[in-house]
Amino acid sequence: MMKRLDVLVISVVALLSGCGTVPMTAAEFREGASKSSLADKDNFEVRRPFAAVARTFQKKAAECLNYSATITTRPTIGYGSSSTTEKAKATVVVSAKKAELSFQVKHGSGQHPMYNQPPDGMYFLVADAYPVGKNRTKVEIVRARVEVVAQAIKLWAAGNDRGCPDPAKVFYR
Amino acid sequence: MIMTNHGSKAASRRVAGCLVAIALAGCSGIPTYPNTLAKNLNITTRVEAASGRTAVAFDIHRVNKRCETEHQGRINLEDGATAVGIPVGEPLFLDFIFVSKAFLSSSVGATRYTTLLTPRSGYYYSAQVKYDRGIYDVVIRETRRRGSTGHVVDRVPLSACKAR
Repeated sequence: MMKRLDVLVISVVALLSGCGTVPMTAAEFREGASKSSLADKDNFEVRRPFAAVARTFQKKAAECLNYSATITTRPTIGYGSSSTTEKAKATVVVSAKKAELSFQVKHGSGQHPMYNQPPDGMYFLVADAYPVGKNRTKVEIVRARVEVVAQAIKLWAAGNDRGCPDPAKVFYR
Repeated sequence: MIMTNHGSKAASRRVAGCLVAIALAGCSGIPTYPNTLAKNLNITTRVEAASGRTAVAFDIHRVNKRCETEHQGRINLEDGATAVGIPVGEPLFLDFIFVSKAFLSSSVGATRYTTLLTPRSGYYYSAQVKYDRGIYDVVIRETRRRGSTGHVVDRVPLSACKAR
């Protein structure tokens, strides 16, 4: 399990290797990921007013994307186990022309011997919504894995504000 | 094992190792809810096939005057409808537990949707429980018997309980 996590963290760093550093802000993550072939990108439009999409982002991010998860790893052979904690945080910033949802996850203490990280954890996704008409909104998502979070954001943007991504599936499919 | 715990906005989600074993393996250890009261809660469960090996359990807790929970038992929810009788006129802590096993991995995760609810006499409750490829959803509705379509019941965290 932890090996998968390490790979994940390294992949995020590699994703943004063009900058040479771990992104410390949503803007840096967006910029690095938009230039990287390793990042996943989704662009789409929904037939909903921008204000409604922004409100849904605020409601659902607060409800679904702020959590902590404890991962317990047991060896295949032998006894004992070790645990670590993931803390996820979502931030939504809304202005007249844009709604930005960023998703961060802090693994363990958040300290890494090789990389400085943002205090609230590494960025894994940024979703931006823009008004493109009275009743249309454009959404751009850049992400490093976390597919289930992106899937939930697509549903929210389209007006389905019921579901939450399962934290147990955010990194472990 | 992945245990998840949401913040104050969402009610607490935790996982106990034994829950996973019980929900997935069907072994005993946690008491089954007796379900002998008049049926006033209808749960409709739908786990999409593409969601892999996912099980849903439903725990019912009474909440005492000090806001402490007292476990009344568990029902393992199968796809389809389940009729449940829950006590009325007193606060309950309802706990829907989604347990899933990762593909080609030994890791098991569980996520909880919990809420406080004080069922009322003369009312009927329905819960739509859904899990579709990593996205879960629980919607509880309250309807007056022989009344209209009712309304969605807001989720209330256990921390909102006030000692009586």
